Amino acid sequence: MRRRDGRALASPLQLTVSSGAGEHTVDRAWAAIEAEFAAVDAAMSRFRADSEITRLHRRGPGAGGVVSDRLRSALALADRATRLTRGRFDARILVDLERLGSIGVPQVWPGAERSVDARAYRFDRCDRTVRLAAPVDLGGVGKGLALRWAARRAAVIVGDTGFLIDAGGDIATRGSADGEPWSIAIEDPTGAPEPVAVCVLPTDSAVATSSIRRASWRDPDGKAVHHLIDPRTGSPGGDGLRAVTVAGPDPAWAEIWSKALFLEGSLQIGATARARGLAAWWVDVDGDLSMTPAARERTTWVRAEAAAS
Amino acid sequence: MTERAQARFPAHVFVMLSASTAAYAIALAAVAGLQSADDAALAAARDPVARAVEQVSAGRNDVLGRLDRARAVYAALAESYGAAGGSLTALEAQLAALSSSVAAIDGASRSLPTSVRLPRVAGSVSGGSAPATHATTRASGG
Repeated sequence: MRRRDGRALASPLQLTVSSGAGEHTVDRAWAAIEAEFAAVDAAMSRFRADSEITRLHRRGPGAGGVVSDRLRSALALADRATRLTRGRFDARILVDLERLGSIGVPQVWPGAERSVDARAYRFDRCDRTVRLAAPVDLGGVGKGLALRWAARRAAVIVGDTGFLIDAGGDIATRGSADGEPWSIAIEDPTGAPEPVAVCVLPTDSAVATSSIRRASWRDPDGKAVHHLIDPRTGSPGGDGLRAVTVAGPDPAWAEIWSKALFLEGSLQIGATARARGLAAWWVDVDGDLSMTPAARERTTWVRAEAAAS
Repeated sequence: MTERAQARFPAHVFVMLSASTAAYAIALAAVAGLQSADDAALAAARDPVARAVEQVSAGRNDVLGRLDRARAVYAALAESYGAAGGSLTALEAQLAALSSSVAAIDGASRSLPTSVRLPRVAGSVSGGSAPATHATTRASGG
């Protein structure tokens, strides 16, 4: 197998290509992936003063602006995700993130509220401008979309050869790993070196994890908070949970569902994940791993079971 | 014989009888004329009352006709109400059945455990240390 490593969207970025692809082909695929991630970063990063979303936020409420297709696709996906998750996922939590002290280039305009409109944005088809109803955080959606679009571009270059793109723990795959399914470890959110489980992904799959292991800090009052904000309360959510992993065909939706399921909390996540037919694994605050039947079908190793046997 | 009758009833008797008869006829004619005039006056006097009676009669007939129509409408409404009542009863029965189904589903869903310890899948889950993997999914902070 051939590998390429780099960084994008403030995370490690790695490409693994099955045997069969030449070095030149892998280099071209890697260049396409890096270009795609750079384009997404330029469009959606709230950590860059010159990104499209930062410029749009600085125009203030109701001020429209012509945006790239990438940014508009991200806004449309975030809007759709809010509806499909019944409000569990909502990109408009940026107001709360900044209130709690999340770092980044300030995006929120004075007087902005979390939910001032039924939709996160308005798109004018005549002049092709976008108007935001509230400031939005497209970090998770952006990374998922970057993986989706990068995998699409890489697949055109490498053809039938299988490959895996790992963007800081969010993963997209195509084909197989030299004839075998791609095998993915699920990190222990407590920081233990051994994973809590290992799963295999079918062809053309994705997996994403939402966890409070990183992106946690103390708010201005000294209270421990994290970045997974519950839109219903405006405060960090996911009571009783440390991490949620979701596998599915699309990296953007895997990212969305991992976040939405995390915000269900330990009492509701099982029912919601099963009702949706999702392949989901979650680790609670006691460190216990649970999973849905769809996830069980893909699981090849569980640390707790291996220790018991 | 005529001569005897003439001898028995003198002519002036006949004249008197004739005159009396004529006078009676004239008086009778006068009385009849007066009666006729009175009848005409009476009829003229009664005419507004007769017209009023006719109007009252016509009004009564109209009211009767309206009552008949109202009775028919009432009967139709009563029939429709009866039919709607039957439908409402059926709908209420269906709602009651739906409510009991929802309650049963709700009870069943509440009885489900939050997490389920599923049995191990023989042949797919291996023991020992973690197998080699191609990548690790982890907190990305996004």
